[in-house]
Amino acid sequence: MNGSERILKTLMDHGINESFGYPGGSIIPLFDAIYETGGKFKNILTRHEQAAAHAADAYARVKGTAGIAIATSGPGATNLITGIATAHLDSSPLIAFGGQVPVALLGNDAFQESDMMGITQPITKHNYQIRDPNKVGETITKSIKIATTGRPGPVYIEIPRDPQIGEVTKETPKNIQLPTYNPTMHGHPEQIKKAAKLILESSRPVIIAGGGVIISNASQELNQLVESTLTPVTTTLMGKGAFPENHPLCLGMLGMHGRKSANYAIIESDLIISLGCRFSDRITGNKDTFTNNAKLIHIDIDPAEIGKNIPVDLPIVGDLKCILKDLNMYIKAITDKHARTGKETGWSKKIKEINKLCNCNTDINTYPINPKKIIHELNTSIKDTDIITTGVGQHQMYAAHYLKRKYPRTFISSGGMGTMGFGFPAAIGAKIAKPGCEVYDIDGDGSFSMNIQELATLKEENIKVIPLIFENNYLGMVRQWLEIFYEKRYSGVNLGKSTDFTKIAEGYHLNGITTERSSEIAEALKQATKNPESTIITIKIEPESNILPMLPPDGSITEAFGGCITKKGHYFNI
Amino acid sequence: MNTQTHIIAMHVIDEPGVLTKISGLFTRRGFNIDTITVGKTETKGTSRITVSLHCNEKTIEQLEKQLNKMIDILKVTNVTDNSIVRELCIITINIKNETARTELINYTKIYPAKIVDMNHTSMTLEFTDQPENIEEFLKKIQQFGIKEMVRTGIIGINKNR
Repeated sequence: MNGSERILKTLMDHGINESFGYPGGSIIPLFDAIYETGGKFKNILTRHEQAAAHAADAYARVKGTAGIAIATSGPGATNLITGIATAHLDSSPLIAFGGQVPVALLGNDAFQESDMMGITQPITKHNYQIRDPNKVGETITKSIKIATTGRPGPVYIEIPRDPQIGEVTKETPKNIQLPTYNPTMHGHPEQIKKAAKLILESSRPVIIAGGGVIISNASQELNQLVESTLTPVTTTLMGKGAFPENHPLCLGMLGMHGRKSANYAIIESDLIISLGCRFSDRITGNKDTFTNNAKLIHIDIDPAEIGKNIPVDLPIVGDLKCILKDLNMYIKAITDKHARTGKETGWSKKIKEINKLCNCNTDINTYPINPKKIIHELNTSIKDTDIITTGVGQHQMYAAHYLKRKYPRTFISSGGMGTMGFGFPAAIGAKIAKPGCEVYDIDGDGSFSMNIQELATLKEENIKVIPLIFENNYLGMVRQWLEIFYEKRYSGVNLGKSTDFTKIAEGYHLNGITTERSSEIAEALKQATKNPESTIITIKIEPESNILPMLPPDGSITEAFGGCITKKGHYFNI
Repeated sequence: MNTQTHIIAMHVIDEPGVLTKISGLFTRRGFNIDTITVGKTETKGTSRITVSLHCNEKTIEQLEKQLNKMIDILKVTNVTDNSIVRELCIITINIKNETARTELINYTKIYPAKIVDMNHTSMTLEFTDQPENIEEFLKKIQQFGIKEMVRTGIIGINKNR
């Protein structure tokens, strides 16, 4: 067995038998070993390494296990970078393999050599260079553990050409230890008891559910916490789907582009319970005014997140699922004595009422099409278990606001990094992870164009996903900023009207539908769903629609403007 | 928030690239290193990196947490307080005349500085002490004209409890 075969054997021993990758000189031995497995290990050939990384990242997010991307040295490896950085900021267990020039040539500026250990270091949870084929098994086992446990994150493995070919002479050790790596799982019982008390003593509590709830599979525990205390829940973009969005206490996304109901709850609350959320600037707006004198319980598996951006009153470090289980237990023990479980309070009633006011009408039949209408049709037609991926921009925020998701891991978006071009390859990764689900990519004409070459992957690998392109011929989000904050000085945002996505789809021998009428969207979706092959739906939308509410730059969440609340100025004068 | 000099000692796995990873973290997160030293430890295969930096309590807390996350770091110890802290300094000083020479030799009798080299025009001293004492000594001998100076950076160890 050579090093390459050991790579695949170790991955398959861990239940991983799919990858996304693109070959090249320094990684040929690994691709040769893939050939040798006769289909037991399958590589999806993407048309760009960036797409391979995004697909593997989304695969990991949907499945909750490691996703594998493979590239050659030099340009192949550097093309992975945007994908690795995206996985890093969204804590996704991507494992990226990069080839490298032979060990003897390292540092000599050989053909297609780049210092990937240096380049990937700031954007990975960890990276390894394997120089000895006997270390392959051990290194990959460690990498999988590092990538998937604790706060997950990408691991980059660089393997020069010779250890890929070199003979493996030793068995992989049975008991592989990582002495310096030991993420805290169980929260401190005293802290959790205090949290239970604080929650029950508070009169206006609110939960922020972040991506951590989804990563630790803690949705059920969160549900229990909400039902027993009737605490309203806001979610971050990464937390979308952690809590069912048809629940009357689900306020949707908070923050810079947050729903008014969500930001209102934060402003008015006396206790914020943050679950696996890192308080990025897109959540807090101006950090100094964010908590507005409310107490803050911050639960996170990464101790470095606690107190990093917002001062904390009660920190708990550990795995959310474990901590929420304990928290629910303590709350039950207390409430059993006082018998207040599940009782409506003035706060919960008020929140439900405001939340209803914020559920504005999305069934808008205008010409040109209002983007809300597309989301409306999706809400009507897709299954709760289907998967939505998104690009980055206005369409992403429309989806974040109006799309109702009930289950975790069914909404896949690039949050921290905000990577345009993520949605389409992510849809491919999601479909490979869950072939039984329909996968829709809500995308913009700008975002979609960034990885448009993956249409070839769809056709050749016979993968069915449905990209929905919100075509406004603008880079919409930047245009919105220029309109509102730069007096409509539209610099570098006009995409022109020369692109015909349906014709492009046809060029790849795929189906394309273009529509500009609200009444045709439902039918287009129906056709695309029915078709066993991918259909690319292009929807021409109102070119200058704005996604609101939004915050001015560096503004506090009380300064949010726009958006629909039916009684204007009824609850807060914004 | 008050700022002061903090000294952090890290036990790390002795492998290529570890120092880059650690110094990269400092740069990336905006922590400014004043001194950094690396050396062997009591355990084979591990090194000790000692870093001193001037910052406030919040920054040092965040730094320690970020360092603790690094897989190549075995242990992070704050050796700012209740510790033995030393730095070594080698100074070559110009000697203009005999009076200066005699005066300098007198300084080495009062301060724990050792003469390690000498010729007609210069004298080289070795001085090991707490960084603040080194500063004080340097101020005193500045008048002679320092030709060249090298400092190791700070190392520290916690006192026995």
